[in-house]
Amino acid sequence: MMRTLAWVTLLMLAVLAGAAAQEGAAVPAEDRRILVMFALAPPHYRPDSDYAGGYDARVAHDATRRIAAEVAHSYGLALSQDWPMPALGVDCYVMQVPEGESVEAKIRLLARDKRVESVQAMNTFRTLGHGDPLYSLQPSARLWHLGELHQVTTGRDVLIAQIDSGVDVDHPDLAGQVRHKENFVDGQDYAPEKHGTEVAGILVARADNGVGIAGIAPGASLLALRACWQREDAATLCNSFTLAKALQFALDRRAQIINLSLSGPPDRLLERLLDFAWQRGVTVVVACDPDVADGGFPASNPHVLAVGQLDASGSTGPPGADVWAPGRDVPTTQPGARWGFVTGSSFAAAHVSGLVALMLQLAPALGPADMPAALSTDLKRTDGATRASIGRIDPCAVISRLAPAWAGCNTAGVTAVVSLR
Amino acid sequence: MAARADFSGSATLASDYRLRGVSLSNEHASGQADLNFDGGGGWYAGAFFANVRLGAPPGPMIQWLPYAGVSRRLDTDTTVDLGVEYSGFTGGNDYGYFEAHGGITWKDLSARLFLSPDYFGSGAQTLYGQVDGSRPVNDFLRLFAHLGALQFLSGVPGDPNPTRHPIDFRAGLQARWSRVTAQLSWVTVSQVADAYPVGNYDGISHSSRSAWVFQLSVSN
Repeated sequence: MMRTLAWVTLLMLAVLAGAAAQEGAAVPAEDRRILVMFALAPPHYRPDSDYAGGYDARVAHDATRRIAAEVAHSYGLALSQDWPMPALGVDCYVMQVPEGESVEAKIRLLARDKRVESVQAMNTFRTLGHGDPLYSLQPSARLWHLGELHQVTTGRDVLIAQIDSGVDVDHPDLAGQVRHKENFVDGQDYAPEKHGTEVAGILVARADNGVGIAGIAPGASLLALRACWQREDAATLCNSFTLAKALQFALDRRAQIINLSLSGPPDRLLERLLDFAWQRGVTVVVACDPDVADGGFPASNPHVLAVGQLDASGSTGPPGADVWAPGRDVPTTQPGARWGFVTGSSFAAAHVSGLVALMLQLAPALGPADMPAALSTDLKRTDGATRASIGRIDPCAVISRLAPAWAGCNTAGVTAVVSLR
Repeated sequence: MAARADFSGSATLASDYRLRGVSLSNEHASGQADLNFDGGGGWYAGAFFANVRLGAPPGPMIQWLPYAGVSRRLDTDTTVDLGVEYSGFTGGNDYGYFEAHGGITWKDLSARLFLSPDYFGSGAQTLYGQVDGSRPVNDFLRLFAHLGALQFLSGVPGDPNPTRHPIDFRAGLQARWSRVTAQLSWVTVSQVADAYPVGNYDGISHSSRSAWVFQLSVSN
């Protein structure tokens, strides 16, 4: 009986020891590095250097190299790189803990060593931004925490119909994003134009492709419907006919979102088409005209989401708008593989269309009637009144409600964070 | 923050031991050693030794120089430093003297003042001021320059004229590989003051006014 018990105990200990060893060995090599800081003695009078003249650079670094080597040897660590940090008055050394030994235990031991100023584990950080060079300039990066939203949704399987001037479908930042392009301007062919390309970039520019910007909904597809044309003086015009044809086409192709970054006089034909879109469950996003009291047409139509551009403070927008979004100094794509900055409610509308696409990936059944509730997060308006209305959008809160398992944005004034890789 | 205490030292061979432009080794090669201890809190202490050839005629002796002080970092780039040292010489002479110093270092520039009540045992009170700067050329090369001026606050007995202000200048290149430093510089002084026991007594100056100096150092 006793012998059996002894064997069982031994076996259990062996299993436990094996498991412990296994756990130690399972930690990847990168995690075994620690940072050990040594105090840099401040420079002072020394007879030999003084007589030689000039600041003795050896004081800053060599003094710590010797102690670092001694400490590494004392604790059985491998010395790696080092970097002086005069801002903190320390020299920072990377040391590696050998396999099979506890990193935490080493850190505790080193923390008690009088030669060491401080010691910590080597931490890993993830990018929260995008690998797009202009990402950090995007207002959506800062105001909407775009990179964090993209952790949970990119607008996949959502089709956005953009009724605008021509989009440069060959633009590197738009490659593969345009499902179909179609021209509705009589007597003309499809052509890449400024306004259309600028709006398209904000909507669906490829993310993490190493160039340009990241669109609000890089996972969505675009129907580039050219119902407007760019004149020599760069003004972009459309007419009731071209717009109506494009709207019909968008409805035929079952686009879930229609973006109309344009404004004009009230139009009965278009109104009827917009009402039809509402009934079909298509969300129509329209830009507000800031010079017109009710935002102009089609923004004044009750069945569309009228978007106004946030002002310079980023807190208010025009009174005729349902929602306010960034539209100032937005970096975006321009024809001919270029990028530039744009300002205007056209671009604020594009932000909202992109956001709706992000929402629809998570909740495909959401329709235009659900939008006011889905977009509102009880934000106080700047006049102090609190209502469950829209106004300035908080995309982090909006997406959080649709993705309860998501941790949410790391708010409290975080700007685009860069990865330390 | 853990207290930090650390020894550092160096050994140097110089073709000529020039202090403030004046050769203390009769223009001969001189070996030097420095042992320094940095305590936590910015205080430091150490001892410096060098071969010198002083007197008339010049005889070989050892300069032994204990020093101590405290340095304080004001910000990332700026440090202030105060201390005292005693310069003693073997060989039964009265050349030994005390000196107090105060200085400030900012990035690669420093300025320092030295006050002595009895410079080289000459009876003269002196104030020496210097500015030093250096600039890296690349990872291992560095340019440096030094400018100093010695002010006699009282005259040397037998020569009470306090109006002379010897000015010394040094500029050179320093190369560093790991623990080894090599330095080539040009030193010059406007006047070899009588206070220095470098052979002026016998009418022969054992220190020229200018010289090229080469030195090699090893530090720990």
